Amino acid sequence: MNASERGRMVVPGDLLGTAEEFVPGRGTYEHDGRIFAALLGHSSVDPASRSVAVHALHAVPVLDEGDLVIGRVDELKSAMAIVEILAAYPSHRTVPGTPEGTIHVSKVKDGYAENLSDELAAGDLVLARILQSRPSIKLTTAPPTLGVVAARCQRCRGSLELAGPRQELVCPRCGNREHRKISTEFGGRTAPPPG
Amino acid sequence: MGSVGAKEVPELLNAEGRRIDGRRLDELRQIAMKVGPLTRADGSAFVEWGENKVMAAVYGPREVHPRHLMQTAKAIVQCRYNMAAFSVDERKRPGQDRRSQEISKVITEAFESVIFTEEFPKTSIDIYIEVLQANAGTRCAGLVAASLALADAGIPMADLVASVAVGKVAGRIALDLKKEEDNFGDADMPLALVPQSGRLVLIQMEGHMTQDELRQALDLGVKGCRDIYEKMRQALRSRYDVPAGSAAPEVAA
Repeated sequence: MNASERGRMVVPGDLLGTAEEFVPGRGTYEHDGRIFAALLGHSSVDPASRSVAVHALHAVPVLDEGDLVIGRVDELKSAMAIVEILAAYPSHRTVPGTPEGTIHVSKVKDGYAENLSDELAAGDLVLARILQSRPSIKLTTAPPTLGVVAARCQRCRGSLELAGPRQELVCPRCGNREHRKISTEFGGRTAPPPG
Repeated sequence: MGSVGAKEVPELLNAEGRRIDGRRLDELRQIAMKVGPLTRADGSAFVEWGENKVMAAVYGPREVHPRHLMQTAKAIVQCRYNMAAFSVDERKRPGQDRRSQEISKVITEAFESVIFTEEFPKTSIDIYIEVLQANAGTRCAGLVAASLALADAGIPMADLVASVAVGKVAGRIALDLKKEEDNFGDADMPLALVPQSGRLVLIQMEGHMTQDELRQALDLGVKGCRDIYEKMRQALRSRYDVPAGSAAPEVAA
């Protein structure tokens, strides 16, 4: 949201309007027919739905469709990887409740993946996008920027590195070669988020 | 009036009705609030209130430790109030004691009544209050700092919690006691108010007051809380309300 779209600055407890005027949206609450701000931020009114919301300046991360997240692969099933979501990206704040998401074999890469174990392994850190947030979280790692960002060697647990002309994953400790659906951000090649 | 059995009782109220530091009975000490001094915490605030200096940091909602305290339908609020060893004249023995446990408990309960804990089940909202320099009224200063830190952390709550102490000094009801007034006065009553609803979420008392004095003290205390509330709102705004086009939201309160 840029500065021109910003509404009024509000603090928790500020009166936003009455229940006859607006529908209470995110970051607000209704009490005795009046609507108050629950967060520190800027208020805005959606003209179509007449819903009033407060956009927090420093929000607790809430997962929505389209958001990027950092997760750790916990378990591989035949057609699905279970991922523990650690943080919303690029925020460095943990997501409350450490929710779980799943990556289906058809959503792991662009193209056909025969075996999920060729693309992901338990313990990998992945950058993924949320396809569906309710009732369960479904993720994809198909675009080039998404996929594994850090992985360990399955033989000796050394940190895998990209090496050679074809930029393959190699274990610098034991020389083991592995394959993953890696992200262009593998190894944190772009600048990490501030903080 | 003010008959305390101590050896050297300072003159708490002079003939002009001025207190030991020159304040009138209904006057607050100087207060400065800064929101967000700690960059690694999810939310933080620093409050200088008279000679009190209090830092508050908020983390969460995050994983609950110890795990058995987890509630499946809501977040729990865990507050720890702590006084630094150097915060008072004579070295305070570090660590939790009876007094700090009690203060932690009453502050936790004050915040549980305003935070929308049901939005974050199975998590903990952790509040740390560190008193760096103490001069009476540290639980009130801590509550104010923690309240600002919670707002800074983006924790949804019904309202800010404002707090101040009222007491009885030389037989008169006075707002915001400082150390000498607390030590040699007749009563001290910390209050915490949710200004929108007018609910008191913390009230304790030490000493004695008559019913009339209690009524008078509550009126004065609630008025004091509302003044503090205005200062809190200003501190939150000045931290973040940057005019369009300008950068760096780092503004001291």
